[in-house]
Amino acid sequence: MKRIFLVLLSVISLHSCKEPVSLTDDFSQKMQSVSSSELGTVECKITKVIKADHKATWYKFGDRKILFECKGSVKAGIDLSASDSYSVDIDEENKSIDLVLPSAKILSININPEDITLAYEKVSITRSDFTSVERTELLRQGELSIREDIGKNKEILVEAEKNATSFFSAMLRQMGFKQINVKFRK
Amino acid sequence: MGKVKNIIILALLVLIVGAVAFLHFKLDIFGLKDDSLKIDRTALIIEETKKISEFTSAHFYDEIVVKKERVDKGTLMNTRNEVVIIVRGNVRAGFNLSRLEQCSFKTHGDTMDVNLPAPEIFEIIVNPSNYDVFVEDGKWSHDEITAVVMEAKDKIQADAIKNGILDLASKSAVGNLRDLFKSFGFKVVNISVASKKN
Repeated sequence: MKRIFLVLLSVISLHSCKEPVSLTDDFSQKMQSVSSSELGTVECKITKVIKADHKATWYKFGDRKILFECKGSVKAGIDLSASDSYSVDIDEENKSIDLVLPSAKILSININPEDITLAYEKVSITRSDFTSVERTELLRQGELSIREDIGKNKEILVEAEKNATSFFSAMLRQMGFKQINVKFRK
Repeated sequence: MGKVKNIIILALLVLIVGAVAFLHFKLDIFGLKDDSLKIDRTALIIEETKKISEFTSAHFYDEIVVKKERVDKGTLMNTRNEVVIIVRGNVRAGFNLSRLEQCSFKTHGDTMDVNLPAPEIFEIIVNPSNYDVFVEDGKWSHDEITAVVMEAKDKIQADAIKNGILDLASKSAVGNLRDLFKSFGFKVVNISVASKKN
């Protein structure tokens, strides 16, 4: 009996040795194109450490720790997509123009999967490894945390409006306007 | 006498069950209630801020299901492990207006001529919230999953180009910029677009 058990154990342990010998793939999809009108005026490079410590409980011995280093970019600017998003008031005689734009907003947050590196992972012998589903869930929480932090950071939007003002001022000056006022709806 | 003893035992049992239920549901003394995986709070670091002038005039949304199979060699028999990932991507395309030069704008009277650079794809966004690991048989490492998602990302970019995202970006930008420049007082706005690079 003991011999059978040992043979089974060795077969199982040898069987679990991974050696990829073939890869196949299959795709299915759905898609949609949409037009927009967004002027991105500022880009920030961001980094964040995403870490979790899944501690032992009275019924689970040992703990699991994981740490990712994550890089991304955030773009902010002016969304001109709505037909009434901006208004213009021109004084031909004085060559002056008042341009009222919508307030700046975050246009995109891009966390490239290649820029997420697994820096550390430690799992006690009594616990199961992190699955892909669990790792993805932790990264999602990290993304949500990035979105919350970016939402609280008003400096990016201030910078976006400052850059939009300088962009439109330079363009309108080139078009022959002498006095240019760029404002933002609050 | 036996009847009384039974009642006391039953009452004690009810008391014990009640106490355990109170400790579990109200005080979570056994730590069973919230054993979910949660990240620790860490700071977001803004490393660099730069000025850009990207006019995004088209988005392309795509959803792809990727299935990968890996045969792992065993001593007695091979096992077929598969992973199925649903990947959603957003492709942003438009014009890099920082490439506009002074000669790009020409005004004569109430007519304006604008020469736009070629449209380009700015970014393909596939964030962690944009993909779901639907099936995972066997162990798949972080790098293996990343490789599958990156392959899907390349496919999303190819689909965007195949479905004419750059043409849509051109058409949309020409229409929107014409409206904008007309609101600046120009009656005729001629916009030309340089040939595509992508």
